[in-house]
Amino acid sequence: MSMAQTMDIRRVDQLPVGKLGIWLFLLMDGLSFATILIGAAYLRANGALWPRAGTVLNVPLTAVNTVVLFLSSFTMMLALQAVRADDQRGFKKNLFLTLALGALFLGIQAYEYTHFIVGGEHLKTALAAAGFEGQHFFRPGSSIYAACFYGATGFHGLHVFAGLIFMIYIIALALRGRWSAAHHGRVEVLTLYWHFVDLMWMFVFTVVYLL
Amino acid sequence: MSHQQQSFWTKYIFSTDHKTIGKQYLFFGLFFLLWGGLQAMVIRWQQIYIGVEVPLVGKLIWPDSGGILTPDIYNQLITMHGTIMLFWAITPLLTGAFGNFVVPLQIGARDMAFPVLNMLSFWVFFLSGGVLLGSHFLKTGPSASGWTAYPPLSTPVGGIPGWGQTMWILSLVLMGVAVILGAINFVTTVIRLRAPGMGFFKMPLTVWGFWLSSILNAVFVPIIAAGLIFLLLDNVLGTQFFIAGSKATVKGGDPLLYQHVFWLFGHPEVYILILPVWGIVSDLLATFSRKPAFGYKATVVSMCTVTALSGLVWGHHMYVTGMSPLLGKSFMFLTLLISIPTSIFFLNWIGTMWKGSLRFDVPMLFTMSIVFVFGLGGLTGLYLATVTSDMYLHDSMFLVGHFHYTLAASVFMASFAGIYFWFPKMFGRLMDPLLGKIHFWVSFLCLNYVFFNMIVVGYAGQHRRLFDPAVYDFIKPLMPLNKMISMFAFALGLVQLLFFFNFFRSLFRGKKADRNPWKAATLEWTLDHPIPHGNFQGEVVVKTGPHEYSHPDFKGRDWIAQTEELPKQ
Repeated sequence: MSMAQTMDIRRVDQLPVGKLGIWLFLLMDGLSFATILIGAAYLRANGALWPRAGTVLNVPLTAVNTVVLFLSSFTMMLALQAVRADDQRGFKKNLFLTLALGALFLGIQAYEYTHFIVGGEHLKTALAAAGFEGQHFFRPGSSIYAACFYGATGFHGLHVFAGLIFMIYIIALALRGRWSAAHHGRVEVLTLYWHFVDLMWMFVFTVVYLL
Repeated sequence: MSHQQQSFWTKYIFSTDHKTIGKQYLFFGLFFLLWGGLQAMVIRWQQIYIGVEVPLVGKLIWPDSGGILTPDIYNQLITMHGTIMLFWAITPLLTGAFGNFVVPLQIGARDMAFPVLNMLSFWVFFLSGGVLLGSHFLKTGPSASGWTAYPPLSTPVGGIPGWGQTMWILSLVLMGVAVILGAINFVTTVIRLRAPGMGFFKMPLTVWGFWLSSILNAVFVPIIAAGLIFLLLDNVLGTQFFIAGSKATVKGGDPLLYQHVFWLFGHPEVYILILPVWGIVSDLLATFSRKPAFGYKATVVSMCTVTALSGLVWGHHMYVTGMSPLLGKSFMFLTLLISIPTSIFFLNWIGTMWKGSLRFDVPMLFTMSIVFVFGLGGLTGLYLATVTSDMYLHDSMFLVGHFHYTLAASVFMASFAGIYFWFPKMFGRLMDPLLGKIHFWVSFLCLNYVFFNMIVVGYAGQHRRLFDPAVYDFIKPLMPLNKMISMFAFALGLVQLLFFFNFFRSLFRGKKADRNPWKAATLEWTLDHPIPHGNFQGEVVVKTGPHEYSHPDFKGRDWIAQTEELPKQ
């Protein structure tokens, strides 16, 4: 069922139910992120070995990745502005750009994961310098630090992935000319979600990579 | 959505109509109630006939042990009984069935705010129940770490073999997703879809209860979901978030973190389950006392206060974990603070009944019994909330008795009150009152015997979850009492069959109900059965409060529907 059909059974005052719903969802999702990050801080305070920033995790690469995600938020905003102005061409272009940037973000993250899971001499040296002597890999079970890294970035990555699926659905309908200035409720929902995922990355990046 | 031409599948199975979804939840919840209840019977059997084959079903279910419960099977049973009753019986019966069926009707809405999400929520819930049931068929059995799933028991180092724990976590995560979707729906529906004139302080207290409960769901289920994901990673990816001590291979994991996260959700969870009960009790007492609810606004404010406080008290589950005495005292203070708002609406309940024209229909009997059993549950809670007495009573049968008084007794009595009360609105027929009264009196007497004596044996020192209580000399003198508890528990179980008989018989053969058999004033009773998809024809305008009973200037009948004007002064 579409948004328009949901609207039929809405109360007379025509308030955007969908927006209220997605805000509630984001609030709830934010609490999940908060639990994970506060949990990581708790374990760190509990005595988990927590190396100095940048000794194991690749901060420059991830900083680039952060910029990629920020850019995707920007293009998402341009897409929303375009559909509000009924500029179908600009709308689709920016949606595709957002999709590509989101996929690039996940790609870079997958590259980082692979590097850690496959291991190698370079990683071994870095781990030894960080205090994990004799470890060849940086896998979920390797340390609490690693567990928190995979837990937090994995949870965030799943959100990006879900956002991309949602975006493909929006694009598929956009190609059929479904969205217009008068009718784009779900595009707004996607935009809010996407900005939220971006915002959460700021916290994940700060807590896991920088602190 | 077109409300006509529907196939069988869209009308009864994948329906987006909140009323159909409510009924689906009802049958789903009743099935699990029966399942969890049978498990309770087997647990009580084990308490008195240790090492004796379980009659009827024993050999069928546990052929390997010849129908005799082993300690492992016993642990699986207590785990599954708790988990199923809390999450797959109470939750669908209250929030699922009554929440879905009643809330949109009572606020004058045509459906929930997100009907498709509502359907999705039910089917995710269904799937979660399937995963949990599926875990019973594993060769190694379902989870056996207790319904709280404390690490390290619930992790690979805990010694419980197989996939039972993982499936337990997965099913709970799925259930959490369903509950989160439902919470979004309820909160939005109540905020946005109230009929014109239905101000917040004209809402029936039932709606308040479900709404506040959904807000708690929205805040605390995401927290336990995150905690469960960590527990899942510990189980499948080899992380050690919650593992410490000699079994840990990396430094820094902490099982206490799990307990904090679990109870940060777990304590609000009991309010999630009980808030709808408070609402239903407040409304039904007014209806069957033919009086406006006493202190309506005070009840609302008290319920909101409990909602706000519920997230600040989780530490009272953890006094014995070596918590700092200062922290323990703070948690104790905050917990005891909850008894103030609770006492306020408790007094209001008595005020509602005071000098009313009480009608002892079956729903009223159940409702009045809740005032009693919840009172006992609340009072025993004070002993557990106090650090000094909790040190002794913690993890004893006293706790089990307290918990069953508040949740098993209160919530199931409320579920039954709700079923007897709304059955005519759901199915257009009345349930048999005589069978209902027998069901009530036997249930009431038996459950009080069972749960009160659990408190007694707990006070005498019997620990909870004991496979064989009689191995301790000091418990041996309690065994006759334990035996009586089991006998009354069996009677309690048996009489529920009478309820199921009454329920299914009334579905087809019950007396046809008219539009408003209880002469209630709320909006759902202004509609004829069957209520069409979309509920109300034309616009509903609400003019009076939810409990306008026995108005002195209104002649002819003793109730004024919410769509009617109050008489002029």
